[in-house]
Amino acid sequence: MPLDLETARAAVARYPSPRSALLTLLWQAQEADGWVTPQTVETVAELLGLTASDVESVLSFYSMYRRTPPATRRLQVCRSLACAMKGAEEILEHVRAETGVGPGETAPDGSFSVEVVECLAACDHAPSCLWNERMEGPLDKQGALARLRGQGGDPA
Amino acid sequence: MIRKLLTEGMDTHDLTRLDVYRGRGGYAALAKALGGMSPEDVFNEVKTSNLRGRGGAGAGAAFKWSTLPNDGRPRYLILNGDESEPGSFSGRMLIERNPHRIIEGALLAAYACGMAKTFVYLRGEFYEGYAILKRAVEMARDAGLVGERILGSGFSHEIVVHRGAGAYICGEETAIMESLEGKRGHPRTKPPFPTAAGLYGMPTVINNVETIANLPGIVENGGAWFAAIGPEKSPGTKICSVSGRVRRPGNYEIEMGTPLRELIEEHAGGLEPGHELQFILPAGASSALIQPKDLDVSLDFDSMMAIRSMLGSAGMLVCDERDCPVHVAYLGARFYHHESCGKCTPCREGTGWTEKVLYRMEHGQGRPGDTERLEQLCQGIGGRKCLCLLGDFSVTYLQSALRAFRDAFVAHEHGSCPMARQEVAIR
Repeated sequence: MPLDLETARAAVARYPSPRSALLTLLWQAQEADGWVTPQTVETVAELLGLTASDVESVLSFYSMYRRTPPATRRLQVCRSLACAMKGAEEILEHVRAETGVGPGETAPDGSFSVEVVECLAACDHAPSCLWNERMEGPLDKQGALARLRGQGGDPA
Repeated sequence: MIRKLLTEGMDTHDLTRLDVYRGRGGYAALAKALGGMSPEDVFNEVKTSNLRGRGGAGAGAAFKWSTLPNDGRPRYLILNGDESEPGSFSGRMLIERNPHRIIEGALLAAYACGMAKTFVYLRGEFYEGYAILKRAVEMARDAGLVGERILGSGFSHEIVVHRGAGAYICGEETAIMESLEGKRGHPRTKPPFPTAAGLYGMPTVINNVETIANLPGIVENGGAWFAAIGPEKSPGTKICSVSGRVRRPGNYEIEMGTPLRELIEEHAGGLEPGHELQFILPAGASSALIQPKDLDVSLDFDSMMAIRSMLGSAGMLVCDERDCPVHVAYLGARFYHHESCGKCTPCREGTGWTEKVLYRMEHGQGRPGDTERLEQLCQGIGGRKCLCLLGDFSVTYLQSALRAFRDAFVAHEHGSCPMARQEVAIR
């Protein structure tokens, strides 16, 4: 389902300048399609009176927009100070050893992906993670594997 | 001591509900302001309160407001909820669990300064906080607390909740404006300062969400009441985020002036059993470390400065004897290299070189002279050479660690770690 034009125009109207809605429209599109498609870039550019390369230049700056379709289950592990101190990297190593999927990679069948992210402001639950975009923690080796194998709650 | 002004009722009540928040006295300050106080009256109460910014720098809130020019151009308020400093997580708690307090504070600031619109900038990772705050704004709008003619007065105001998309630099006050304008989050040159030429070139105030959440109490009880809490020059409370090697990590709202020792040993439960405090990063990855000998320091802006550290956002990362200062430096360097926006050369190149040197020191490949090399890098990056302070922040902890634990760095030059850490690190 592509970007809903009515919702998009309502977002644009909230700002003094249309371009301010750029990040918001990219979020809306990613929520609808799971990622930012090449078509989205064209549509958003047209809606805001920008060129596609304008949109690309902003899109490439922000780490949370996906440029490829997402895996079914998504684990993003924080590797910043508090979480690294509490073993985040050992968890990632364990996941790699058990599944062959390391940080930044997706399982060959597309069932899950593993990423590292910077501080999620959840250091009191270190090691913390985003599991299908939901903040969770503390994560451990078994919990990480169970989630990825589809035994740890339903993906959102 | 614990003193709950901003977090009062949060553990026992669902303050995200408008009826609950109002039932506990919420929006009374707004009603008081709109019912009989002029914008100048509200401004004067905030000035009397001596409220200082909770986001890091500790600048006077009223002073910042007072630098807005009186030239008839629209003024904007930006609430900084980007909270990306490793170790800080108090803003997220306020956003998720006391959103109306932030909205009420924003309305009071907007009334005092004659703001045209408020933008709340939340970091992209706050999926839940974004939904909660947006819903809270809608509830407030339905109740006549946001929008046209608020509470039947002549005051109208709109609040837009805006989401970033993954960039530490967007917590910087000029980068946040670029991002809000739909651009890459690159810092701007200063001057002009945001109050002179900010969002869309218009006068703009950027306040941290915790700073803003203090306003309802100040308006309701008076600036003098607030000024009398804690030390004269740093009045009020501070929500301290404690993480790392303590028994009870979490957020603790303390009266300013509380000893750091009390926060760590009493409220956070002390160190994990059988372990010993080695050092604390008191304001996230960007702050100079504090050693056990300074544990009796008072938690306020000036006392922390006096021991060459800072209160900042009060994201306290507690490290024990298992945490090698070199490893912590490597983790910080990796973070800053990843988050440098790439605009200014000292920061872009310097954070990369620092990470590279620390990586090899952490992986048994240190070279003779690496410690001095790091000291030279700190000189090259720090000292306000860039548009923003990210580069300076990236070396603050490192410099303090080089001063306090130089022997540990030198040991790493020869492939050994005094803490005998087992290295597992992913680049």
